Amino acid sequence: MVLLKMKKPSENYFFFGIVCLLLVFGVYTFVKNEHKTSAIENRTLATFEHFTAKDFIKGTFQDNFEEALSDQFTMSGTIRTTYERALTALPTFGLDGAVCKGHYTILPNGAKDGLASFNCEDYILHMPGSLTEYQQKNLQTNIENLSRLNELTKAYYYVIDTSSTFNFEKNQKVAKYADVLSEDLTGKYKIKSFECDDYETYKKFFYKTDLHWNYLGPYQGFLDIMELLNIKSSVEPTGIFTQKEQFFGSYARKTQKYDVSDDFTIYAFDIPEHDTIINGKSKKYNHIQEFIEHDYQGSDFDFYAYFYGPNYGEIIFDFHQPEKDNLLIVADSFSNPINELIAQYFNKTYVVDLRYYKNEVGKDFILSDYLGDNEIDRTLLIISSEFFITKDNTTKGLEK
Amino acid sequence: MLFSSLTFLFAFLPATLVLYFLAKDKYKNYVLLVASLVFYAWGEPKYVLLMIASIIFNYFIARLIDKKRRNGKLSLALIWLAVIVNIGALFIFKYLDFAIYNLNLAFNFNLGQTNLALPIGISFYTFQILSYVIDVYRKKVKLQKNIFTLGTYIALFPQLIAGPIVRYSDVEKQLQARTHSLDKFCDGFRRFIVGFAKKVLIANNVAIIADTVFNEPSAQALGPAAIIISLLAYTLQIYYDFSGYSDMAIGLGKIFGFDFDENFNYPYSARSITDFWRRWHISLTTWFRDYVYIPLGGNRCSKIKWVRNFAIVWLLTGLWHGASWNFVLWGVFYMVILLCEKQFLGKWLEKLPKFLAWILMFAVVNFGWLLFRVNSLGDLGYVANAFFHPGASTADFLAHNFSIIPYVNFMIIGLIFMFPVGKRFKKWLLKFKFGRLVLDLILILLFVLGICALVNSSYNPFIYFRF
Repeated sequence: MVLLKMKKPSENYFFFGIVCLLLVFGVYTFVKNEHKTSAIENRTLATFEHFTAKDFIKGTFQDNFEEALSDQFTMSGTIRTTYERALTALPTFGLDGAVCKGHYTILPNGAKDGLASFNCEDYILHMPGSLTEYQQKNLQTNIENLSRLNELTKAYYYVIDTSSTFNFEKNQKVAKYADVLSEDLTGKYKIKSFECDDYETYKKFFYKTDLHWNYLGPYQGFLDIMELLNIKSSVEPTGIFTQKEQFFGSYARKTQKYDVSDDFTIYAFDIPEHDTIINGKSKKYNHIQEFIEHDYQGSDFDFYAYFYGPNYGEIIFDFHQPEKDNLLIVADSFSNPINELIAQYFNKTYVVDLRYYKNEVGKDFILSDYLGDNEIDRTLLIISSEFFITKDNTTKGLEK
Repeated sequence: MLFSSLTFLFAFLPATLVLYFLAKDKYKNYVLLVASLVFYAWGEPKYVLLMIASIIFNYFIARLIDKKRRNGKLSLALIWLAVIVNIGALFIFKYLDFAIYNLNLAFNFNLGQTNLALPIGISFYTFQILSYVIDVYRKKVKLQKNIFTLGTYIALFPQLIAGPIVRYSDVEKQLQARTHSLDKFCDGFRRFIVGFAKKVLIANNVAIIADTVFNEPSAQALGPAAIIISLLAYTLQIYYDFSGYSDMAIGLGKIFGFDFDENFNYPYSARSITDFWRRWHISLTTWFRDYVYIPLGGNRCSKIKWVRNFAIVWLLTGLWHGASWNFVLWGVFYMVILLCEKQFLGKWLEKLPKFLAWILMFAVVNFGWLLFRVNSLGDLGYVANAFFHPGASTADFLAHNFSIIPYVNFMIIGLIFMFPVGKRFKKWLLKFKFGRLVLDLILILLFVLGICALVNSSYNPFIYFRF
């Protein structure tokens, strides 16, 4: 082969350097086992698909191949985080303090979702802004459905404000969903909000890289809900356990910002024995005990969903206390850390996430039927401000 | 497929290299042709048929032109047919909707848009094909009797989709026989890495600054500083993007034994616009010179005709870049500046201190890129208005877009290396015993950094792909 006729030693090492790079990064990428998920990016990774002429002509084979190669590339996770960290270490010419204080900064890749930082700090926030026409429509439908709910049952509403509801720059609350809802409500109801009216409070209760509240938020929420339900609770954490800088939340994924991670902390509680039925099958809900005992391998999962428990169409917690009420919780993922804590004060607690109910349970959710079939005494809504503006089936069935 | 993509670097290129160097010399062109068609089909699975049809048509029309050479009128008619068919295809895919839009606007017609997708690189390969057919007619090159060799020339993947526009006359002999060596391979790869680093490490990063303003200028309160910074960023982006691509193409050509002409020669170090255009996209300007300007009479005619020739070339240059009025405006802008330089401004510029002449050139080029970058004439008005109303707070803009600030570092690097600093550094370093080793280590480091940037980034467009 003509290429092997090497004349100069300088060409030898350059040639072998390039070949080694192509082998290490390239060939190894194709021969190693494929990874299914990425802990750093908190998402499922694309994998290589078989070639078909039809897909090639459509261009989907090429798109998938390129996505899979990027995802499966040797050490891609490490490369991404190291590169992001290197970028943030670049000089900013002393402008941080001068221009950032008191301002939102849109993050790279964050414009589409309105994700920003404030004061150029590590926290990723939803920039407060006017709602799109689509969100306005959702808000109207959701408020209508939610306000009908209390006509059918004794309803308790717990609303959690997230970063999009408060403008830290102007120090002004911009989305008063709980107020709008309570104006619409008639009859017997109780409503309470978890509010963050300043940046420091927000930082205390929420993750840097994720939409959800951290371990302090849910516990505060639990205490608030106990007060709302008029239950005297003496439950206190029995321990606190932390995994340092391992959690990259959904905001990090959306903005591809992996130079910041969250500590993941969990409060331990003594919860009485009970049965858990998920979508009709007896199943374990969360992995808190594994977290406490550090009885898990790797970190290829979404910490919040894995340890606190994921979103399901229907979860039933049965504490076998027939003398107590049955409770229906309609919620989004914000209730995951506190479902069991609340359920211990009831006989049976039904947790329903309407985004998944129809698909996972296999039928439409109709509130009046559900209340009757399960002898529900009280209904509790645990909803974040995002819940109000997401698509209308988040509340579908509550009005019936 | 982009050169600066993992698919190209770690799948397509290694596979092509192995097959190419394992093949006997007489089969190498076939390997290149198949690889080039796969390369094109990867991004344009349907339009690859258009390119194959174009190869077949031009192969046969060139044969006919050669055969009927003695019949002057017939061969002239055939060359016109070739020009009309090739330019016609380009017109249909690139300019038809623009023409329909303007006809509707001017005459209140209600003609429907075709909404045809633009085949990648059609402007480049159409010009290459034309250079072959016209040169066969002019007897400047011999007829290529092997359709696969002609196909290899037209579809050759290193320069297929974003140039440089390689003329058939420049590679005629190389298509028949070319030399391969490790020295040439390594030199080619070194050149490829330089282009790769220019594209991935500088162009892609400064583009983040430029896009912040230019993607939606009316969506934010802009001050003059924001516009100047982002325009400068775009000026650097387009240079490093396009010259980076040309470097990669030239490097890849060398790896496969071809020697392509340079397409850029530090254009931002020029001291006049005439000089700038001698250094920028050289293969396009010389193509227009040799195939449009000179056949029209060039400057060896009356002044009025010369101005007409000049105007035609610059209108076509503007339109070649895109079917939009801002590209036409950009072409007219340069036509006026160059006419002024040739008439009186050039002599005045020569008398100016070098630095001042450079500042003037750079300011004009930046303004030219503003015309080029804006999405519409409405956006141009908005940007101009913001520029002349310094009321808008630069601090507010920076605060809301603070994340672009670290990318200013890449602008500084870009500003330094737009002058022949790297060339001089290389020359100086090679004087030392281990100079080559140090240079190669720097290049390998740049290659690794570029790969890291690619893995990390989802932003990797090539500006010149759309032309």
